[in-house]
Amino acid sequence: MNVWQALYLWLLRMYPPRFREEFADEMAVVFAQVMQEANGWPRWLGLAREVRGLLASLLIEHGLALRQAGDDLMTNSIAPSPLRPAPGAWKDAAWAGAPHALVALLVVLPLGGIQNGSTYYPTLIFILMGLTALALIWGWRLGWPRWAASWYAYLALAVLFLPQIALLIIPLLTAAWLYWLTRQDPIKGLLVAMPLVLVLWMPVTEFVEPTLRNRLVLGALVLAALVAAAIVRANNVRVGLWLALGASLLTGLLAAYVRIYWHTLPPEHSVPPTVAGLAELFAPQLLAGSTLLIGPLLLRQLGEITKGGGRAGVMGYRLALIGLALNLFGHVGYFWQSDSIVGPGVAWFSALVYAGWALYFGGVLWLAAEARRGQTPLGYGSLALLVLIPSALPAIWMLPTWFGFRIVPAGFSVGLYDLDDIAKYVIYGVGLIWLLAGGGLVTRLSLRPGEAA
Amino acid sequence: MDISAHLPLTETTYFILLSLAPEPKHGYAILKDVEALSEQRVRLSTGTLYGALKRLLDDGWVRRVSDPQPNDTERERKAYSLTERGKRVLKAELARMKKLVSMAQLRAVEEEA
Repeated sequence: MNVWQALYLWLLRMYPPRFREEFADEMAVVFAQVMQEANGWPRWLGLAREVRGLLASLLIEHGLALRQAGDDLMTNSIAPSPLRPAPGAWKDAAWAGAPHALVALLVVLPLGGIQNGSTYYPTLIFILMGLTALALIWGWRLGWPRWAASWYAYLALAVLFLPQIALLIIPLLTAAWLYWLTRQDPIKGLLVAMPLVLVLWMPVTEFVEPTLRNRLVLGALVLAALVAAAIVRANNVRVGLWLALGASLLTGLLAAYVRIYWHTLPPEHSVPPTVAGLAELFAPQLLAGSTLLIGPLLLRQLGEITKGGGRAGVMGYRLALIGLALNLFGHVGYFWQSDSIVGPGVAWFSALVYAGWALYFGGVLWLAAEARRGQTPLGYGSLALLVLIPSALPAIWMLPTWFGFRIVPAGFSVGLYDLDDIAKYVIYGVGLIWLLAGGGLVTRLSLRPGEAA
Repeated sequence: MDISAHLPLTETTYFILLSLAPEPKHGYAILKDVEALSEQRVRLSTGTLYGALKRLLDDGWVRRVSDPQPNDTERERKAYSLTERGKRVLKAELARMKKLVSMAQLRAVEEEA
């Protein structure tokens, strides 16, 4: 084998896995024959044609593979999780927990420093990005096994290098990413969302003494490793969802407790903590994080009923998704615009929020009507919940900013932070009902047909 | 499905189907035959050929068969053959081309007259 054949074999590895498995061996043989047929100048021309053709073909095949994945999102049958699915392999579970355990190890190593009272980890971030890249290449070679999804979350580190304006679209991109993954495999969606949910608790610990904060980060990472492994091992969406919510609850309680005791002063000098203070740190963040876990699963279930609604149902579903995306973008834009003089103005973003809701309800009601006409197995109650609960996803995602950054929600004249404690408890209570209803609905609908009755 | 919805064929698809019309062929033989059929004008790369073959397999226009030609390598070589559907598509494309040519000839005769 000469150097060109070796290079060609290497390039063949870059095809999507299914194409590679089917054709790579034959292509290598044909390439070798093409290279043998000529000498001198024609051989170089042939080589140039082969390399150019291969690169173009690579682009086309990856494009088609992506399009196929996109089509699968809209048309694939989403099988309900079996009641007792076969457990995932221990090896896969260990690989799924490995990235978080590794980051925990990196946190323990003296790779960071203290700057302005906070810990920073420049070396750790670069090591982590390198390892993430390696793991993703390995995952790609193996055809994206489940455990690879545990590494995807660390792609979010790219946020650190983006300009501030990118924050406008990051929530939207994250939501689209999680939705896309969940439609392919809900376990993968949970594996990506769970560490993000735990990381979202870290801003709550701002101003907390760094040693204490590091211990909390370490604990959250170890918990993330254990939960990721348990999710893969359990191979059950319902178990995975509640495990991830439980991990968020535990991390959040600790984070909020530590922060309330150590605001800007050591505990002995702090103002005595109150239940209201603890709740204000804890409840909005818990609810916001839960949208990353529950939201994609709810939208997946909503997509499931398009099967009974025909093409019109699919149109309604797409309209609803666009509406939710618009609503989320409007909320985030409104938040950003409230603190900036650059931009089209809050009225525009406020209009987007309400236009998004209108579009969502228009689309989802159309879908529901078509699904009922198509004899969906869902009863009116479940259908109504499935229509209503996702409409609140963007607003619940914004709760920590409305409380923490003291931003008035779009279309409101009073900020949530200005309400008295009783009104705030009512909001947390409604949010908790939303969480339990959403989680419960996903749990019930992921049972086998007949078991939900 | 209506075959005319797939017409006109791309040049690559047309030459591959034409090459497979008389007998099954393996990848390298298709490359050489397409070159010959197009009088050296169309030279497919291996990547382009197998991308097209994948589409044709997915559409059910060609299928894999054992290679009828003897093979000096140890590996079993795969050959490709037209399916009935592939034959119908090729026939429809040839009829379409024939119609285009006859219309053009008719117009040329009218202009001469």
